Amino acid sequence: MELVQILVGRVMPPVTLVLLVAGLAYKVRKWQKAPVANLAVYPAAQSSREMWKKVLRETFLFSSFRRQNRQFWSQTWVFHASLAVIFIGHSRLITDWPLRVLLGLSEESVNSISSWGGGVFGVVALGACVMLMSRRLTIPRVREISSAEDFGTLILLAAILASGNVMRFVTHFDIVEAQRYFATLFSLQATQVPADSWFLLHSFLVQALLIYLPAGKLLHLPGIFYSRALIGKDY
Amino acid sequence: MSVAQNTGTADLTRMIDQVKAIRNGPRVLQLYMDMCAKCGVCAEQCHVAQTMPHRRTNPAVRSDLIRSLYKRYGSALGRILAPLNGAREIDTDELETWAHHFYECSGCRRCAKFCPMGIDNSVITRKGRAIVHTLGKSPFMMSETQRVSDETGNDEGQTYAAFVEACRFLCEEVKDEFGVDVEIPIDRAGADVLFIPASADLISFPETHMGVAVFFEALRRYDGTTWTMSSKAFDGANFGLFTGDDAHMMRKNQRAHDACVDLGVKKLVIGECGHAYRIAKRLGPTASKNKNPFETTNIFTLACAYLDKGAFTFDRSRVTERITYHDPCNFARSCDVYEEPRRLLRAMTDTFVEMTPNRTENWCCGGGGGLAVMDGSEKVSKLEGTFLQYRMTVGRLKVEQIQAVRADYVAAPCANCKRQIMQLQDHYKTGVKTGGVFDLLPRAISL
Repeated sequence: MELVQILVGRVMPPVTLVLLVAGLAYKVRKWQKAPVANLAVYPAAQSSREMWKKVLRETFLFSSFRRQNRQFWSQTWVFHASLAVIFIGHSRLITDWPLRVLLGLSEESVNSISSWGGGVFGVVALGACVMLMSRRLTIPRVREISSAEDFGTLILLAAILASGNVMRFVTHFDIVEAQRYFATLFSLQATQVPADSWFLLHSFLVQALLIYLPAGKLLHLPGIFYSRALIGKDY
Repeated sequence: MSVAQNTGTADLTRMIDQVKAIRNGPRVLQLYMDMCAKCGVCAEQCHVAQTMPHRRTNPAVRSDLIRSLYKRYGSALGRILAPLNGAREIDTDELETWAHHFYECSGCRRCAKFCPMGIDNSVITRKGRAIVHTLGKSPFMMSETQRVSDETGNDEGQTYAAFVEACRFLCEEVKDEFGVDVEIPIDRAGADVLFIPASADLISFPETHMGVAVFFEALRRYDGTTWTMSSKAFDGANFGLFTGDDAHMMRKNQRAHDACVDLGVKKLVIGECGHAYRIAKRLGPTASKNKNPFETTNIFTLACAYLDKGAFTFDRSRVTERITYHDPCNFARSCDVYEEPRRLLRAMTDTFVEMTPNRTENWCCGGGGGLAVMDGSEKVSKLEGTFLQYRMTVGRLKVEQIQAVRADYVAAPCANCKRQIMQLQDHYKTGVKTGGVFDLLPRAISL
């Protein structure tokens, strides 16, 4: 166990961080430097400001295909939105300063919001993940374009969500322990990595996802801003 | 029909090299190689995928032809991840496959409209076609048209004499049919406007050109605006857009540019040809874009400007058929010309009906991307049947759309759309007439 703790908790995180940041920086820089052609799909934005408004609307509301396929739209929107909420929620591991100071919440309310919100979104995201998976399997035109990567990404995300849910609902993992760990994660101070095996599994899977992010289809996270901008306006 | 044929090793190497070169290519291609999430939305929005339910017609599958090779040969990481990410070895008949599959996409950009990522598969299609073209495997009619165009300056290979004769004949036709004296001036230096249609209009769709001649006669009577055509550049059609041959595209576009400069016109006006306008306005060389001594516009925008000035009026009682309008993909999604043709039609008649979906969401007629000119097998070895059969299959949605509004006449201002929709009406025996917007103008205008 101790070896796993050290590997996942001390050795892997700096490697993950470097690969994630370097990978994203490499890709984004390459896109940034590449020549741009006139490709707007009209009606297009008349100004950069208008275009960025459009890009953000697409990024947050997925409006391009909402009317065409409401079922898929709601599945995928709920999926992405709850993942975003969960991601933001994890900031608590580092600090709950914004909640306590900016919103003036007591520690008790922070805990209760976190436990309710985290619980609900964890379950909802997992449910949406399962629905997206069944969509990939059952709709022929989606199944025929699905590769191991497409299924694998969903399985990885589902495993991350499931292990997180186990920690919240079954093993009742103590967040204080994790907060202590994160506080010194990137310092030279040696601290205790939580010994909880679900925590270690969860942490490992998340890091695997982050390492993989710049190498596969998850590049649509940074890429959407660029591709939307390309068809959003003429240059 | 299909003959088993393998791509030579040298050609396979050249294909791989061109796919690898995308690494340093335009941003759009790099992005599209990296970020498709395989959600399947494009297949729901593609007329080909909808009417021909084969795996290969799924836009994401077609684009994957390039993407999977890019991953395999483009980076060490992609090669390592090959069992996961769909990266694959090049096939022995890769070139033949591409020559077929990339010509099953009309590049209408409807998928780009709905893709959550904003991926425009037409860009990948054009890249695929470009690679096919460099290896000399473009469908026969595509490369032949380019050859003829390079030789004669127009896609039909009309000579100067034939062009002059056609213009004179059309003037006589206008006189006979509508009783109006018109002139189609050729190479008139100092004219206000150089007009460039698709040269197919002179031969296959003369009614459109007659309508344009009457329109310019109305302008002359209103404020003395003069127009001309150029014997060196009377064809705006440009197959370089379709084959992915940028050099040809620029060469042909340069003709229009030079003609404008030589004749000293103030405006370049493109006729009922969507892709000609797209190239002249947006894709042409920078020298003929912003810093031009002339303005580039299209016949609809020009006509609407004069309509607003009250330069001419229409008698709306004369055109009584139910008229509908088909948005050509290049005028619409690629050039933002949506309302001008509709305003003209509404001004000319009381019987205009709108199809659904329309404008930016319009279904392609099935003839886009140069497909409309191809009838036979065009030496595409993997094609089963003919391009005509293919087009009649994928045009079904368009026919249903037209029939749903019980239209008598479809105005489709694009030579490719016109040909495709005409053939569709024959094939499905609908009895609906097809033509341009300006075809109706001589009947409706009060001169």
